[in-house]
Amino acid sequence: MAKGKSNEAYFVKADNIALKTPDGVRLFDSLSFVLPPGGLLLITGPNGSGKSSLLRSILGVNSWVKGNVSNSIHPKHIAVIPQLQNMEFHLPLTLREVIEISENRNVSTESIVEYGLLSQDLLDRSWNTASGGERQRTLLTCALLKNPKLLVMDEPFNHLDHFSQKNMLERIDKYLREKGSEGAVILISHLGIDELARFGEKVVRIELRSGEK
Amino acid sequence: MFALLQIYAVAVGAGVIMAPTLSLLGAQLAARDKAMQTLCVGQGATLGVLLGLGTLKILDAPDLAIHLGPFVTAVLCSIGTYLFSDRITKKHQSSKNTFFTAIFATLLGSGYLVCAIFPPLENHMTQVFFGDLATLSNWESVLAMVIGIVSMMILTLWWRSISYESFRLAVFGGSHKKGKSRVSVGFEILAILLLSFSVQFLGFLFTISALFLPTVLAKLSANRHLKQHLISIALLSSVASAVGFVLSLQYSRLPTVPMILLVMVGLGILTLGVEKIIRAKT
Repeated sequence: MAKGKSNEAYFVKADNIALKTPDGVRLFDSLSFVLPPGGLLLITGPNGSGKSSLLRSILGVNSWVKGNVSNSIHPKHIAVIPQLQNMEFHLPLTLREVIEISENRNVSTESIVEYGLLSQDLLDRSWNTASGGERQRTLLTCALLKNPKLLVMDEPFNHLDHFSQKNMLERIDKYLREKGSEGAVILISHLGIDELARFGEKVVRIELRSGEK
Repeated sequence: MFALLQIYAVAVGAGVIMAPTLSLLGAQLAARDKAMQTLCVGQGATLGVLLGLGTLKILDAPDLAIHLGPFVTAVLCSIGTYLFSDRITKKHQSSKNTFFTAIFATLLGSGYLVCAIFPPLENHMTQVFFGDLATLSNWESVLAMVIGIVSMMILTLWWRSISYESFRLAVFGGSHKKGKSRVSVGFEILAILLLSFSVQFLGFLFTISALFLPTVLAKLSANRHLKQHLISIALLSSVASAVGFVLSLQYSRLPTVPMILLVMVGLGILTLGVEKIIRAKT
């Protein structure tokens, strides 16, 4: 965990950053924020406002952002659940196998089920025929098994039913409470005030607007 | 028949080992939606082999150079084709298969042109394209077996990491991490080298068929498990390779590689039929 100029610990820090895409669209200017330990950084905004680009800049994947943005966590302690682009996978695999190839080892049923996201009877379901909620809960289980310090999720609630969304939010809340100052979450989503209420003061909310040339 | 088998035992062994190795590689390439691109890279390797052979034969190079040189040119042409096709389709993802088809046709035409320019290659185009396991020399067969075993060990020992990389690329469409992982780079290097070697010694048709036919046939079954899929494609391809080869020895008019292909399809359909009957009864 790093400390800023004021000796305050942070997980992610952005200081007066601006983002312009390679084809010249200015997505945002003069953006500053700090994600403190135990906090939840919620990035929200319309399509094309630069949410995923900002996230990639925070993770150091692209350098489109001008200004100072950094995270203080070693990449091996960061678990990322990117946005799903394609639902189907050519090779057959069950939800359990998704977890096992993610972990690169056999994983016991108890270790998977204890996160409260997947029940035992779901583990043998095929990834290709699983629902959106089952897939996202599987991916969140994969991320949590890595015991990350920083949990990053890009639009995990898209097309999810109410039960799956509630289940995942409860789990994220539990992760933050268990981790305390040793963990934090970055989330790209359109969560409303009701859904955010459970996180209380931990939320750092950034709302991006549409870009302009 | 037995006498023929004794003569071709090593070549049969080469086919039995290379086929499942290629099928395991092909399953991962298919999962990454790289089948069309692999077709192009394979054709690039074919062109490389022809260029290498043509140049070295005209220069009257020694035997070792004539075997090693085309492999080097095949690898270089494969890498060039891979990088070019990757770059040109980066901004045209929705029509990438059309681009790959165009690149494949261009490379195929170029291959025929090279054959016309280099007289010593006149009879070689068919050989390189269709290949023939039966014409592998003993040392070529042994080399194929060694390379096949080493590659299969890599694909088997790291099957989870490689599969997860395929899953990540297919389902998330990229990475939220900077640069490529070691698994990704290692897999791509293995794919290029294995593809180039296989095209040169076993032929383009055997290579492409062994890469993708088994995984396509196995995909039609009701199996949900990854491990089972990988084991079944390895078994299907190695059995088909052995049976097809033996049948082509028994009936000398039948060409080896197409026979293997036919047996692979036949065995695959038979397996699906049996599976359907068992499911209907249970």
